[in-house]
Amino acid sequence: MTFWQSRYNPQLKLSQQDLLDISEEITQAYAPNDSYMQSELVLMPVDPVTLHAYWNIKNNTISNLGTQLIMRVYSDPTLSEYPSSLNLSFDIKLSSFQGQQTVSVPIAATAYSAVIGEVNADNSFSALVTSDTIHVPRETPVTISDAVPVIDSESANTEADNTQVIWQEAMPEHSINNSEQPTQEIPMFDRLFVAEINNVPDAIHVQRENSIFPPNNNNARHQFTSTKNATAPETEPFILKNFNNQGYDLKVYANSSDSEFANILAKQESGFYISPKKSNITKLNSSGLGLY
Amino acid sequence: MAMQRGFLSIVLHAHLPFVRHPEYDNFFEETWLFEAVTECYIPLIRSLEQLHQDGVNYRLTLSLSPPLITMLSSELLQSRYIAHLNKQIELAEKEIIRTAGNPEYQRLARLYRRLYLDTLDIFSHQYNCNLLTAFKKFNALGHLELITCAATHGFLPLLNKNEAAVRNQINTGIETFISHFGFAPEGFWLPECGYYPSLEKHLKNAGINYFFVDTHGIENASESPRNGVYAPLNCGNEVMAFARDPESSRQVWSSTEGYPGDYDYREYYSDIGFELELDYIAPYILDGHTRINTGIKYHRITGQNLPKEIYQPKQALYKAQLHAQDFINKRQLQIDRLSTDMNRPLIIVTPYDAELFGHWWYEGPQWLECVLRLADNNTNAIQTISCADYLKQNVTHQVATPSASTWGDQGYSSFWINESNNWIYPLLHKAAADLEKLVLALQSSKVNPLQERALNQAVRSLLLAQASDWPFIMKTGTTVEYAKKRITDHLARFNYLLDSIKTNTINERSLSALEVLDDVFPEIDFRSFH
Repeated sequence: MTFWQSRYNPQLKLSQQDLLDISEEITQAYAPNDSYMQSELVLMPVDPVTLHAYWNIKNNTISNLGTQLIMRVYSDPTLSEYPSSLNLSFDIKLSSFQGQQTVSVPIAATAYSAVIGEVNADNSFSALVTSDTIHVPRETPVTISDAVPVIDSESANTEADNTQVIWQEAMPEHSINNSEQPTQEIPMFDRLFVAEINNVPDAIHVQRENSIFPPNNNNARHQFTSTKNATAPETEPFILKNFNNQGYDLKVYANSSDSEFANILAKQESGFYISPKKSNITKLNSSGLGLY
Repeated sequence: MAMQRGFLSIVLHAHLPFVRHPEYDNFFEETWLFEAVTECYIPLIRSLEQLHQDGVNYRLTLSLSPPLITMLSSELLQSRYIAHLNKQIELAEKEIIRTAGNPEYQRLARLYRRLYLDTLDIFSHQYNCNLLTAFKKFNALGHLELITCAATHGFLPLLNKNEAAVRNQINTGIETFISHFGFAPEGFWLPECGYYPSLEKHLKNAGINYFFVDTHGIENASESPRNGVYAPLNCGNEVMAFARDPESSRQVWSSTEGYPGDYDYREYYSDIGFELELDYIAPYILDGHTRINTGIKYHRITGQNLPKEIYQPKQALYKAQLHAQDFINKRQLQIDRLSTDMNRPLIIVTPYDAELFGHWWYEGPQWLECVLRLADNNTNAIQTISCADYLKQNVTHQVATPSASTWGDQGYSSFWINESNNWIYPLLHKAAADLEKLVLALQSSKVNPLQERALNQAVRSLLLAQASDWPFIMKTGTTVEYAKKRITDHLARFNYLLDSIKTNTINERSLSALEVLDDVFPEIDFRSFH
């Protein structure tokens, strides 16, 4: 019979059967299971247009078991590889408090984050857990137009200080009732969506806070401040119904004349979208852009 | 002397998952190592020895993964390999008798017997059962650059939910390499070429100068690469990223265009383990009744939908030589075509899995030997080089960040995370987070020797669970139950150890059993997991 000893204690001898028994006992008693101590939402990039999400929501964080659980995915242009004027978001209905899902995202080379929450009876959105921000890679070589613009920090600061963005909606108090919530502030988009659901027509002026930019992030500043000489972004989203047959409606905040917006519209296979200024559904024209 | 216009850097990445089962007398998955030793590593050593004896000047890079390094130096596996090889010799001798009426088959049976005997001689007598000695020798001779990879070949892009897990994979891998070879590697093989921006900072901190990415990692970099994929990019911290050359890769890898599919080469799927009477072959297959490859194969690829013809070693060798010449010619043309647009000597980096050569492509080692021989021939302008040497000759490079990429199917992470294997990631991430939390809590505490052993063993358990091989196998659908069991066992052992540490109930007998079962990384220090 063969006996084994640990290199750290040669005195203690174990037979092959001992090894088998101990291994089996430990696996029986300690095999990993899906019992998690805390709520979490984790995103992982899979490829340029796919991410993988897994989540676990503890039952005690849910206010009403009958509510619809939603994963709201956001693009974050301030953290994306290259400046962008597109802000994107979409909702995915979740059928369980714990699970995994592959998510097709609208554009590559972009930062995404997500929030899982409940849509309450009054259509407000209660966030339960948020993810970290992840980046999906480029899918094509960089081109000249992707080049990061260089602006001097002084002018950027000046512009930032003077810029005012007009959001056309009123914002009901956002409800966060989960004591386990991360400290991350709920993005502005959530507030917009809440308003959209409530269909409140009031217009308010929101002073943009400098603090939304990471320190010394001139690119991010530039992205927001460069609208000075351009058309201001739409204050309500374009809604691309069943975007690219992915099963979700993509909300796009962009200038209708923006080339990035044109690119994303070109991916809309069905051709249907709802413009922010019209309640009717528009079909893409033959140019493929559907602009009006 | 004219400046060299272009270089060829051939990189072999040798890796197998850590498979060592002292709890059984023999274990099927250990034959992965035995087959690779017989068919890949010793044929490679044989070729390197021949090149050395013939005075051929060449540079080749070999990445040895820490699990492979550990297995090649394991006395248990060395003794089991000799037993395995003796069975192979016995089977070849039986085959010589069985094929007595068929001279063509018998000639091949005799060839296998001679090969196995020579393999035994190289393994046992020339290198005293430890093939690392051979690689050290060729490194010392200046022909072989040795590098390594992550500790258990963890797929880093999907482990980086916890940066300590990534650092631990990198640092433990390098420490293992240093403890066996006595020097630090300059280069690092990212498992599956899995790169994500910011990984280079961990490599820099670990003392690494360069790594490899797949072609699109450089093509889609943060700035357009001025020299395409034929010069490295400086990731911004003086760590250089070299790209795989798509053209030369395709010539070897492609199932349609690649050399290994030539009709004269040996057919991998024709093996007497599946072809002969069960009673006859039983002593050489799994548990006497489950058919497996024995390594004795008599047929050549022949052609699609044709009856397999007998393997002709001389014809196959001739084809390997032709293909080597073709490979060199095409590199020459590539250098002629590209070098005019380059602002420095170009480098064609051609990385391959080492196990392709000899195992899947039986004539691969002969082809490689021939390529290295031809590259040293003065009639062409090709010179083999290691990436470390190239960086010594060409110091400054364009600064840009490669794009996240892998060399797997589709070029990203989907092979390692999909419906077949995604269940492992919440478990791996949670285990890493739990370990990091515990290590942090113990930072200022004194632990007793038993606790220290338990903590170190917990780090080993986590590392073994993180191997990229398990999700890979689950996706390929080969030995799925084994892969699932390995992950489950390692995570259970991890959970057990953490629980016993936290509750101060460490059972030394159980801990010792785990140290015997998972005998890797003997010098690991749990304190470095942060």
